[in-house]
Amino acid sequence: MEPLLQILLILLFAKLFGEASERLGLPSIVGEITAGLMLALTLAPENTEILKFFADLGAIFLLFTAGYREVHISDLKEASKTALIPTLSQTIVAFVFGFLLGQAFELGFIQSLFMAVAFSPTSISVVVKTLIDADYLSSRPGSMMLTSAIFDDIIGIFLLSVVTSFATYNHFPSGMQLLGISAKIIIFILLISIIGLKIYPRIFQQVHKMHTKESIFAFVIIIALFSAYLAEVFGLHAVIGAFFGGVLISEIPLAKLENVQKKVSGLSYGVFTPIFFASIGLSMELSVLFTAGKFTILVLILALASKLIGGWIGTKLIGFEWKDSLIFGVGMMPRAGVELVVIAIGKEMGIISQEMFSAIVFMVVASIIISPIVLDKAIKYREKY
Amino acid sequence: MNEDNHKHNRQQNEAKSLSQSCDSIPISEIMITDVVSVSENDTIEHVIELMAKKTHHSYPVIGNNDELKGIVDQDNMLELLFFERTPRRHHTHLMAIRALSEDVRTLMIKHPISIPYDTSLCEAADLMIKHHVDRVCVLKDDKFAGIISKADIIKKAFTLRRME
Repeated sequence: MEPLLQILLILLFAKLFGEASERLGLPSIVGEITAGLMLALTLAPENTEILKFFADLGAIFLLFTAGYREVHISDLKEASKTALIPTLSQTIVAFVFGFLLGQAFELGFIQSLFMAVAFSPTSISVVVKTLIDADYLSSRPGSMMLTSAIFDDIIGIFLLSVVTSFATYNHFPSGMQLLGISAKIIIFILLISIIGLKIYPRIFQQVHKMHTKESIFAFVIIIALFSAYLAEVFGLHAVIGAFFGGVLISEIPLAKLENVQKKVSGLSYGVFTPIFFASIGLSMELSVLFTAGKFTILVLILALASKLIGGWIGTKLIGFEWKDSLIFGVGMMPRAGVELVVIAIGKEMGIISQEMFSAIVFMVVASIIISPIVLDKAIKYREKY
Repeated sequence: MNEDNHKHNRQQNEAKSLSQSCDSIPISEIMITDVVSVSENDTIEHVIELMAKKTHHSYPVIGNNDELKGIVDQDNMLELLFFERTPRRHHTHLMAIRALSEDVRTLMIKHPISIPYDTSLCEAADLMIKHHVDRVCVLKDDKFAGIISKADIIKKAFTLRRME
């Protein structure tokens, strides 16, 4: 199939299935992954290199937009006062469960690490609608979920940086290797921060005076690509750089003009990100879920249970009543974007097997469907007793 | 004497054409300085009351030392009031945090667009036209000095036309 036709079809399917998903009350990501799966089952496109490149751009823009629109560094300090313990607790428990599951199935150190990292982040936006409908958004567990979510992308990116750096070695790195990895990450963050804080504001002061069309929008995209490329130069994955690029321009007023934000959002959520999610579905093999049925079921159960347990323990530690802790734990169960980026990278690096990839995609989709239902039940239980 | 001549010439130039003479008109001349502002600690109820009584679209958020902290506008307020009715794609955690705002600090748009006091009218108009910005805060020595909107520019144009 010609690349142009592949991109046309994957975007069309992603949008149609995404819409169907929204109308069924589910986030569009479920429909977009299904779109890729349907495309694989019906047309099974071959020679998908160009499509894959578009999907890579999708992962880059997914995290760039997260940094650009959703992360406010100034909020982190405030949030850390209240939500640090529950956030760390649910992340650490999920990480440990993921790693132990990998070890139990005799996966290698790096494979287990990828499993652990794929277990760790949360995607709170999946349950916001449930919280609104139940009038629980402003409740203690509801507001704690929102505060905790401020750390989500940061934690996901941190773990991703570590796991992709470790992936260079197929074992736990030695002291010197760890030092090298840390130095690489720190130098990269320092360099990109200096560029972001000292140079980017000046660039935008000049760019907004340019006569060429859409110059500010173009420079926002240029910074996304530059940051992604710079990360690769430092041996880190491009998505990590894209995320930092987004965070660094998120406080520059000219880069955050409403109409520029809309265009970035349109390019990202309208085109590239749906292609990325659909390509995840395209790479999935349904049959593997059955052949590795026990593994798939355990991935799902442990991924959900670890968040529930970790969230419950963390909020109990700061004095939550047990039913509120239960609600918080359930709210932490859904996974979405970052987890899929983690496994897409793992697969691209040849570390993650088809079984592990398909099982985690299944877990992500199932967590998106299950979490709001369980949360609704937990809230009703809380109100009834 | 020279100063009077200069002023006279400038008025003549302004009368010719706004787009030709806007370079010589500083925004400080036409910006609104008597601005209704709010502080970060003001409650949402206070802002709703302000918006109900006044007709302004935006309210700058000013700190203790007159520094510009942010801006709240009618769009923010509508999003807060009707958050439950917004489409699911808007239900990000950041939007939800905004929807739960009890004071201006969490509702406001941080880092609003601003221009220095000595910017020319041409530059301000270019900014508004190119980037679809309706109003811009004006800073003098990093402190809030006023606000300029498209309406203020049109008013200026009207005055100049009447002089022709």
